[in-house]
Amino acid sequence: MSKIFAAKAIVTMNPAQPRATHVAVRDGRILAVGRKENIADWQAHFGITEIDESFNDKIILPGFIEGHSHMFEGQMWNYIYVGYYDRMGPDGKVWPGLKSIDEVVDRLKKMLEARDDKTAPLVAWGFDPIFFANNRLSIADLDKVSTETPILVLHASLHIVNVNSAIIKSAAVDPDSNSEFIRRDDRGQITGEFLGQVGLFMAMRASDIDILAAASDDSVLENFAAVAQRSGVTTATDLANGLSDDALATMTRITARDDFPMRLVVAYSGNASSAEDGLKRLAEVKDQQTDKLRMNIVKLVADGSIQGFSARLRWPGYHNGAPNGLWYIEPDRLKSLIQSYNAAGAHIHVHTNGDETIGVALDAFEAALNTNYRTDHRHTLQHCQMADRADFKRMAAMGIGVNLFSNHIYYWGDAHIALTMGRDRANRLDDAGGALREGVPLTIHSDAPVTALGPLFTAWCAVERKTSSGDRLGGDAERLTVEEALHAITLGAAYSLKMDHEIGSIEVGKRADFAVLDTDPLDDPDTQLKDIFVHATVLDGRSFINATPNT
Amino acid sequence: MSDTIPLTVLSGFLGSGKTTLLNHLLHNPQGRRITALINDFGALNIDEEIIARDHNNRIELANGCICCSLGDDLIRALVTALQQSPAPDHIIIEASGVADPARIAAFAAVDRNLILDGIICCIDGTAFTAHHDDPYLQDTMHRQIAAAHIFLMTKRDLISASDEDEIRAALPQDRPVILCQNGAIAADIILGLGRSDFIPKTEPSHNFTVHTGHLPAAPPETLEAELMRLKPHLIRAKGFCHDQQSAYLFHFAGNRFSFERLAKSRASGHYALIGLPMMDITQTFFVDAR
Repeated sequence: MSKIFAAKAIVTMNPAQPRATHVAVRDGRILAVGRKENIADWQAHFGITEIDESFNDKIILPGFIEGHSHMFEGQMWNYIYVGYYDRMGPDGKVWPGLKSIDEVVDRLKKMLEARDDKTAPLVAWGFDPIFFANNRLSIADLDKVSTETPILVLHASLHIVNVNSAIIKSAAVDPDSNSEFIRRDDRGQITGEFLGQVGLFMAMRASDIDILAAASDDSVLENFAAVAQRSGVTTATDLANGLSDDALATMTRITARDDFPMRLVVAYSGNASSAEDGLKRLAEVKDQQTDKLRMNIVKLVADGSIQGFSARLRWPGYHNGAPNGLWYIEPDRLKSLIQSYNAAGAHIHVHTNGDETIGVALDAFEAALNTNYRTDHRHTLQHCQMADRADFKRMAAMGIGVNLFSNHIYYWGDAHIALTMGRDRANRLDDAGGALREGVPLTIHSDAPVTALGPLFTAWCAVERKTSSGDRLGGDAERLTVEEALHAITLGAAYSLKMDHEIGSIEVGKRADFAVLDTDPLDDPDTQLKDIFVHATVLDGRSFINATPNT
Repeated sequence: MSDTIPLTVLSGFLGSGKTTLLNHLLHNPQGRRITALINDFGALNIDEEIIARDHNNRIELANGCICCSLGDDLIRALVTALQQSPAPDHIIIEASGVADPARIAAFAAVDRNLILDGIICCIDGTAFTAHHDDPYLQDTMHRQIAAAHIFLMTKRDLISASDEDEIRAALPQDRPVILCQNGAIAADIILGLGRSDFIPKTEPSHNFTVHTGHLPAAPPETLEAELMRLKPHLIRAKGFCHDQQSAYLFHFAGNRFSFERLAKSRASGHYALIGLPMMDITQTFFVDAR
């Protein structure tokens, strides 16, 4: 298959030829990039006859790369979205954000009425009480939806669950005991809100469904890819995955389909196993990789989340006085895992949210790299939200890259100022400008389903650094230019996955993966990246066109 | 009561002896069919006992015990363990070295089929002071200590008497500290006195003292007050008590008393106490209940 795509403009991310209007594609790869006057030459040399003019008035960019997301996003869309912000589902339908508990109850009522089966559990997700002042969802609220149908509402954090009385009454649940993980009201009555893993455990016991199942059926991966595709993504990550035989078989089968619109990069979840077992599994799956399925990263999770107060912070700790967070791996074990994986030549990504964890991870990398020096290892700190300039300097010195959680600025920025870290440290939250200025290879991410998958929105966050209330974190030093932000969601992400020789820019020899936009993000300085509509994506030269969104 | 499964959470840092203890309990379950959810069974010495193995994450032993690999999904492992048929007699969750065991124990609070038997914290005698002074680890250790009901001090033979005193002084004074060599401690002591089979099989030894008998009529509140007077030397208590209205089943582990009202009245106040050798019942009403 050979053809020439014509566009209003092509933003290539290739410094040698930053802009073009035409790109020739053969067998899924980019054959030539240029302008109208080059077409005759291409036709003569390459024998291409077909010119695809469907993007004539559109802007083509390299396909966006989401360097930190979870396939679980796809499972979420099998449930009912009840979040505060508008969110687009896999079918392109935008679910309006719900601004009150009554609105949440109304949506659940409507969804239940529309369903034939009233006995199966009704599962909702994305709820976030942080926006409803002191009003919290209660058993009474959910009982307005039904007292018969079991109802579970997963909070946006996935660490809190609300249930109705049908679940409280069901056989497996006995929340009589005192536990700090069961929320009670002023009168000591349980409210139906359960914290930590307890909520999820109870939800799974009571509903008898595997709420957290990854790749349980084809819809999970299909939904995930559809959401990604609609936001211009041609390569997305599942960070991380146990890489069981079942999961591998499902991913292999589905990604191989011609109509599957993206590449999937899967990281092996290394927390639960020895480095020996992890390396063995990575070696086993190595030969099963394809152009659309990569499995060559190991991910380690070193601490929890900042907004959940489970990230590990340096002195002076949490702004509201909450006790320090949790290690998810002992510092010594992190050190020995990084030592072993680095020695074996593996590509390591480490989840580090709090600044204490960042320091411990960097100590571990320093020890490992001093023992086994490696060029171009591409080790990366994921989230790395509280890194300061000193941390970035260490990273630059060791060649360690960063994937910052820029969406946090918007979604939790206000909470970070008020509760978790205070204004001073919030000013440097997800400091993309600082990382670039200190020479750290940079990409930015959504952590979907924790926040909505959408690289243009993520890029907007890194450029504007505005919280949802309109407050701005930090000054110009922490911000990215639009060009830098676009680099972060294309070549920057490709670099972090060690795929920048294949994807991330529009230049000869690379994959013909494009994001096709309605508006040129570089044309007008007032353009808000988050508002640009993604008209289509192209994967290996094949177009996937999006309908105009409807609500 | 008969359909509730006791849950023990086993906490302690890496190297504190959790695996050694699990090894011992799985080899000597004293009649229990234990299901153990553990981090890495490569470290367990159970190869010759294995009678079945599936997908490498569930192992069945000849004595009815089962080991499940936790992977990185504790919730799913526990849900699966609870769905087993027949149900296990006891579930042990091996917490990761840095986990907060209170968070794991909370599972029992929301599940009618689970009752928290206790949180056991293994203390590595040789590493306690270093961990205690480590700025990265000390708060994690404090959390584990605060949550524990019973402490098992391991590697006592490798430390001095003054080291031992120092460790004891750093632990809460209201909970028992059991010295444990090579994980050799009876399941009846560490896992409680079983569900229905009430008579303890444990004989008094130089390590433990056992008292059994029949209680006079007394409400659970009185009983609790009497048991609390035996702290920190009381490790375990279980039995039946009754007042004018009702009969109760009571349970004590570490520093925690619980009871439940029984559907039928029951005349006999059969009970058992297991404690450290220095436990002195002479000042309590148990002295007359023998």
